[in-house]
Amino acid sequence: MNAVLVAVIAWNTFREAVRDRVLYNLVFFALLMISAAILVGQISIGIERLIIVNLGLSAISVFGAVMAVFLGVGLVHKEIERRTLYTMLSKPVRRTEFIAGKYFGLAITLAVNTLLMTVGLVTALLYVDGTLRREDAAVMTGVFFIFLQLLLLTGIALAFSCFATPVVSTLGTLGLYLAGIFSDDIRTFGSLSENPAMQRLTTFLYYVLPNFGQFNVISAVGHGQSVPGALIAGNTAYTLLYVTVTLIAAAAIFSNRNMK
Amino acid sequence: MTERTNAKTRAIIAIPLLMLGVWMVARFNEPYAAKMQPGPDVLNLSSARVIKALSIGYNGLMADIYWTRAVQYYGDKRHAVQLTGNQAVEHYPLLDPLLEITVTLDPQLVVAYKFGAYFLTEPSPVGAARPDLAARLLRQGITNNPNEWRLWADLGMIYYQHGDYAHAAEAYRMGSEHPHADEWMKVMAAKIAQEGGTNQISVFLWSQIFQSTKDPLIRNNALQHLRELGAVR
Repeated sequence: MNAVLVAVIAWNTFREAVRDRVLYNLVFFALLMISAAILVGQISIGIERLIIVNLGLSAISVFGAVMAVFLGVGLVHKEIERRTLYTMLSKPVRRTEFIAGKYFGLAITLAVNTLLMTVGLVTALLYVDGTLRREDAAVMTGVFFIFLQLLLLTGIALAFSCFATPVVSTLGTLGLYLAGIFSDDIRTFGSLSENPAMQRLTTFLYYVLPNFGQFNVISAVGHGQSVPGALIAGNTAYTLLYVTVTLIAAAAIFSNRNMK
Repeated sequence: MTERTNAKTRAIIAIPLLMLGVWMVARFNEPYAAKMQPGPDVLNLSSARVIKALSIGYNGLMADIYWTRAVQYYGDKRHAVQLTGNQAVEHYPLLDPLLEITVTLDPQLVVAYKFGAYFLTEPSPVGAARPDLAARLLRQGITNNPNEWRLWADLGMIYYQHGDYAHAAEAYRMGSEHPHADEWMKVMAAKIAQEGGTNQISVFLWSQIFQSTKDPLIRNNALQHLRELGAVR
């Protein structure tokens, strides 16, 4: 794989996203943070800092997930529809490189978006508290886990976009996202059943589905609870492995696709 | 004038006019729409577990929203009592369910146990006059947050206020066993067990409550009690 080609495609995908004004969501995020920082102290008791953390991290997660899903499902489809893909593939670019470039391009967009929203969150925390505390380092771990989730979601969306229409890809990605959030419950339902076949099936699903639940530390870091290093390492490795699987699958599907 | 300028002029004139129309229609609809809505004292979803499942991982934020709703509910009712001067018994029927949902969504939200217990235990019409529910809520908080020794002090205070000195002394003693607990917890446990309710103990406990929070509602209430005890003018 030619890394320079991948980087060029990635950079162009990022520039295209910026041109499409996807970073405008930052304005909504800023407004949300400003109004929360000003209003919460007046309408609630004792949760000024906590709500900034919870609301900020939830908004980073929701805005990021919306971007990952809706941009992700259009990554390949848009290129086919505009027929720009044919120009690209007529050059010495392998389909695998194209897929990797598209993925990293969206990953850069999400990284920039997440970074800027994090700056907004930290500013709101500074406004509410007047200072940053030691526990706020845990909030950064929360942001990192959200970013890992977004990388995973992008991989899934991209894989779908290689063979399905945007509507089907969106439904499929959102379906897997929800199933991944509830994967713990799926296993619990199985263990409640007396049927060993059902138990095996739900355990299988638990391990196969992307486990988005394990990335959710928003509530814990809001209370200043630190995240164990083992979980940070584990979740990072999990994301890298799972994303690799989705990219390999996407490349395989896309390479076998007849473009005529 | 070009077509583009025409469109721009049309937009500048039409949009504010149409928005004015939207605002007028919305104002017209308001009373009719309000009749179709359930009253304010309604829990749309009463099961904390269902709400937790529906929050798809954003349970921390949902807990903050429910806590704010509980504070607003309590504040609205209390404000209504103050406005009308009507001292009729107010039971705050939704307070306990709202608090229950809040702490199920976020068991570490200590503020909800602490202030929620205060809202529940204060005599009517200022509070729900349900010290039993307040004690239950605090015990739940202690189970979920074993490091928060101050919750034991809050529990002890609820028993103390209602003349249950044996349970109050026991709560202070249990709290005093926490490695980070203040020394006065041990003193209170011993004094209440020995003397029951005295003016001196009451003054000390209300002073502790006054100093332990920045919230004006709780501080004013503590100050009111201290005035009644003759500790401050």
